[in-house]
Amino acid sequence: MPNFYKTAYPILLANVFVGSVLLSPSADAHHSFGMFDDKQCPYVEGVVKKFEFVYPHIWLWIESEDSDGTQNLWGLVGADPATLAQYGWSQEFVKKGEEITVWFNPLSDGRKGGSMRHVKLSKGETVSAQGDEKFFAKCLPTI
Amino acid sequence: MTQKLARRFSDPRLRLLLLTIFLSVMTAPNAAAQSDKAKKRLMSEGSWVMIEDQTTRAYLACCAGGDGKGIPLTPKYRKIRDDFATRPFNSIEGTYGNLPNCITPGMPGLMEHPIQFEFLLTPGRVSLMFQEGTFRRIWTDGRKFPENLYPQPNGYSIGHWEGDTLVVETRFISKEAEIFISAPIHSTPQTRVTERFTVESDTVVKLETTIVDPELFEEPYTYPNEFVKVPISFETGCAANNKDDGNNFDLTPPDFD
Repeated sequence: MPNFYKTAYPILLANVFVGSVLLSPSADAHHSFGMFDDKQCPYVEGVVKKFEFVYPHIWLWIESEDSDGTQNLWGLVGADPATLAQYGWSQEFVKKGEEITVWFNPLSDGRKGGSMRHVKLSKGETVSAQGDEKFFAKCLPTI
Repeated sequence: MTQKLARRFSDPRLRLLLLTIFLSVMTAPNAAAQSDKAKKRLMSEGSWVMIEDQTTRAYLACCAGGDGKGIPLTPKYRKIRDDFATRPFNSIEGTYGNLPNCITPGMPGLMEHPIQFEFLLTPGRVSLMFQEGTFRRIWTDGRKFPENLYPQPNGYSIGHWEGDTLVVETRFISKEAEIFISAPIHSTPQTRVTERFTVESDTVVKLETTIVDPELFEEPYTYPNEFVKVPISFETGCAANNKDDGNNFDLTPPDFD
């Protein structure tokens, strides 16, 4: 057996089957997922300030409100528009002013941002923001 | 005279020649009609995107923990690919490629990215226009390759139609162009790429790509791809929205108006 398989294959298997590789098929060439904490999967409820269906990745800007009335602005990134277009996403998919819920892997540095995983739209439909998610660690909608 | 003609027609070689001519004449209009239909399908409104299964294939070919089985890389490039494929993606070392710097991936890696594109067919030329700003020119006017040409990321492409299939050969690709969707393996002056775009329906185009490069591959490397038509077309600039390259994550709020 070549050395490669002796040394690297166990790592490959671990990555593929345990799901520890934080790779989006649509995004890894562009940015690292090391800045997100994939063990956390919180959600934020808020009002859409802006939806950017842009290349290289879509962005959602959401304003949420704490129990004490503090307003928070969240910047959340999703997959690329080409992939999400196959799942029905378009420029009009999320509307400004819409109340939505987003599950995400938060930034490890504590800032209010992260990698979007699922979005629950105001009409009740919940959709993935990363396509089929086959390379991602588990992060499922909870409500 | 009549006997002489009869003797000539009894020659099997002549019969074969006549049959070939007959079949060519009979099938030519059909092939032309197939091409016309394929061209209309390519040009219909919307844009083409790679199906997600093929995006996964592309990532497993280059990296993403894939074993690269079936890719006939030479030992030198096999090691480069394998070293890259097994490094951790959740680190800055996991990012690589031209796109984080908003540089076109170049050929043939460009066609492995999930980037929307549209076909524009004009007399003697097919153009592919990509959402991230780059484009390809495919000359279909019957020209031959020049002997020398300044290499460019997407190379110099010549194509022709075979029924509903556009056959394209690309040469003169510059060395910053990427072979895979990622991985630090680049085209060389010897890289030649042959693509067969087959228009299957109004919404499906299949692509078979073969790369020949004795520096990189021990034998021609052929792989499939597939694109579907989605009903959206738009243009965006990579640099204008490049807020999340490498390990950067720019949370500067945009203009909300």
